Parts: sequence; structure tokens; C-alpha cells
Amino acid sequence: MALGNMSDGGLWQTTRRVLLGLMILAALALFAFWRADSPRIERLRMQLTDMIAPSFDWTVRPFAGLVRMVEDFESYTRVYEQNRELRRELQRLRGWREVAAQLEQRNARLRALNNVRLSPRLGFVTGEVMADTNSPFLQSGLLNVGQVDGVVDGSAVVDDLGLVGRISGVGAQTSRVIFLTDLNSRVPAQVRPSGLRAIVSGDTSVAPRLDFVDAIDSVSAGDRIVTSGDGGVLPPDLLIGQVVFAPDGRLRVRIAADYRRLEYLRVLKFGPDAPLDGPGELIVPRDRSAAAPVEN
Amino acid sequence: MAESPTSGAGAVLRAFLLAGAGLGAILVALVPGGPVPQSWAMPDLLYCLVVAWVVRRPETAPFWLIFLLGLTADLMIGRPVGLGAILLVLAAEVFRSQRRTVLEGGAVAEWIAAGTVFALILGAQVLMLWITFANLPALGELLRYGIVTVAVYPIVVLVCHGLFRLRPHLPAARVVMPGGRS
Repeated sequence: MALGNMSDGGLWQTTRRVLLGLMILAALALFAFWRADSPRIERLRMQLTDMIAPSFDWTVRPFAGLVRMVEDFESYTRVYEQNRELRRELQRLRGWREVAAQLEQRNARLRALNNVRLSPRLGFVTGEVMADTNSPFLQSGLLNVGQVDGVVDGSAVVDDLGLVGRISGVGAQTSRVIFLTDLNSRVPAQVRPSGLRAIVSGDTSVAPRLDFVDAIDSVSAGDRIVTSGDGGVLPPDLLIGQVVFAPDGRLRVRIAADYRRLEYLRVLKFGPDAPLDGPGELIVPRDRSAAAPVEN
Repeated sequence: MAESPTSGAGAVLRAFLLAGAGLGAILVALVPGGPVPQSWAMPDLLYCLVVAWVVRRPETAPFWLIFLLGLTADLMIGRPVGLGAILLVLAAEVFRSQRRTVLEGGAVAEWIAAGTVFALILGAQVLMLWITFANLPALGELLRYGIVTVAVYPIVVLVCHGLFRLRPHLPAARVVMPGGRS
């Protein structure tokens, strides 16, 4: 029987090797599939998350509470400095509040004069950050709102200060936010006050790059960067951050949103206006309406 | 799957323990408000756990379980899907075949080996991403990720040692040289 045992072991070794080979092939196929068709993998990922999410309540949350307690204690030790800082800031902001109130009144008056029709207001739904991933390959957060709350792919996500990212992947109860710092985040933006268009592209570093700026000379450090709304995915005029010059001379963005304290985030529900993608059919005569698109 | 007839039920229990600890490692990486984009990256706890486990008790860490854990981590933490899992399995296989050398070299040698293999894994991942025209992470960020993971490895080993009673178990098949003992 010893011989049989031996061959058994050998057989197992061979089977194991074959299985390992198959596994490598399967994993490479999966990788290729992920690269070629990542929305489907994204759906799989959200299904898995939806399945695991209920267990977050008793696994991740106590940890998160502990981490927050430590952080709060740290800030408690600096409470005196913080107090002074806050008082200074309060003074400065009081001035701004006055200015804002005056501007608002003036704005309202001008609108009344002009008979302006405003675009429909943004709706939003607020969710809590249940988990976040912070690896060089993905920087994202998991929100506890999903399809049932009306979240759709591509919605903008903001905290109380500015844009945090956009939704990429919606489950029934959960959704995933891709942060601005993530490798694959590209947001069309506008630099104020020059009005230049640019793209804010994340590269896993703290400050995303500001790419495709036409005239770098007309951009100065501290300029505000807002979403431009190009592409119709994100609403326009959401604050992203400020321009900073990196040591290597490239433009980068100091993000306005506070990534250290992401607790509650707003998912904006934004329906772009109906697109105008053709000439008015009623006015153009029949024989020319067929030729019109070709001329363009 | 009677891999090692000597262990039996104990091996199955330990495999369950590995599965639980692996899931725990994945969940810890998901804790919000932990290390944030502003500061250091979250270390790859699962890699540390698997390597420490395979070096000590390889018979209780079947490769398909490691693959499943790796795949779950890929999907949950968002590494390149499939790639992270298979590289984890391959790293585990390397340590499985070289465990005697690693263990006899002492703790520092094990640490260095774990770090080197992790660097190779990161290199392979970046290479595959580069080949498939994906966006590559910043080099500094990768470097930090590697350093944090390597730094955390001894802690994971200690936790395995203390919490899971994971002690290295070398079969006495090979005669150890008298000088190698001290």
C-alpha cells in the first residue's frame, strides 16, 4: 500500500500543478476582461459589496469609531490653538457674510429686472461613508445610499466644502465614490477668474494635476477651480479647489473638500438640459434638411 | 482534499481561521477615517498574513483559499482584478517551496524576503498595467505603499504568533547541521 500512497501523493502533486496553471490562466483572463470591459466587473464588485455591506455595521464601524476617538483626542490636546484660530476665522468670515448678503440682494434685484429663468435646482441625497479604500490602485469610498435612493452612475459627490468625486458603481443599497485623487478620475474644470478650461486628473497623490491648460501664464496660484459642466456628467460651478504650482513647475490642485473628515457626503441628482442636436425641422425645407447635417 | 493526512481536523480548523483572518484583514483596510489619501497608504495586510501563515503552517493554507481571499480583496479594495489574486498565490507558492531556507535564516531574513517578494509583486502589477495601457499610479505612492506594508509585516507575524498560536513547524526530515542551531 505504500506504493499506492506514494503514487497518490504524486497524483495530487500533478493535479495541484494543473489546477495552479488553470488558476493562473483564469486570473489572467479575468484581468484582461477587467481591462476590456470594466463596467461589468464594476457591477460584480457592487453586488459583492451589497452582499457584504450589512456586516459593516458590526465589523468596520466599531473600528472607525475607535479611529475617530483617537483623532478627536488628538484634536482635544490642541484645543487652545484651535480656539484662537477659529476666532480669527470667525472674524474674517463675518465680513464675508456681510458681503454675501449684499450680493445676494443685488442679485435678486437684477434677476427680477431681467426676468431670468433659472435652471431647475439640484436635488441631493446624503449618505454616510461606510468604508474607504486607499491603495495606490484605487482611492474610493463606499456610501450607504444606492439605487433605491435614486443614486445614478456619474452623479457628483460633494461634502460641505467642495467636490469629492463622482459615483462609479451603484448597488441596490450602496454606491462607490471615486475620489478626485484616484488614478482614473478626470474632471472637466474651469479656472476662475480667467475662465480657462482644463482637466483635473488624479494620480494618487494628494494634489491632482491640472492638465490641458491653454495659457499657463494667465493662471496664478490661488485661482479657484470649479467644474465646467462639459460633458454633461457633472453639474457646472461646483468648487473643486485652488491652483498651486508644484515644485516641478506643473499646475496642481489643492482640493477644497476635506478628505480627512469624510463622514457624510451629498450625492447630487443632476439632470442635464435636453440636448439640442439638430436644426429645427419645422423651419428647414424638406430637401435641405437631409443635407444640413452633412454641411456641419 | 486530504493534503496532509497527519493533520486532519486541525488543518481544516486552521484553514477556517486563515479565511476569517484574511477577511478581517480586508475589512480593516476598508475602515473609513483611517489612513487617508493625505497621509500614508493602507498597507497590504492580506499579503503579510498569507506569507506569515504559509511560512509557518503551509499545510493549512491551501492555494485555492489564498486565491479566493486575493480575489475578494481585489474586488473590495480595488486592486487590478485577478492580477492581485494570482500574484498573491504565486508569492505564497514561492514561500511554500522556500520555507525551510526562510525559517532557518531567522526573522530578519524572513522580513527581507517578504519585502523583496512584495516589491516584485508591485513591479509585476505596474508592468501588467503598463502593458495594457492603464493609468499608472505615482511612483512615490507605490514606494510608500511598499514601505508601509514591509513595516507592518513584523506586527502581523507577532499577531499570528500570539493570537493564532501560529508557530513554525519544520518536519525533521532533513538533518540540521549542528552549527545551524545556535
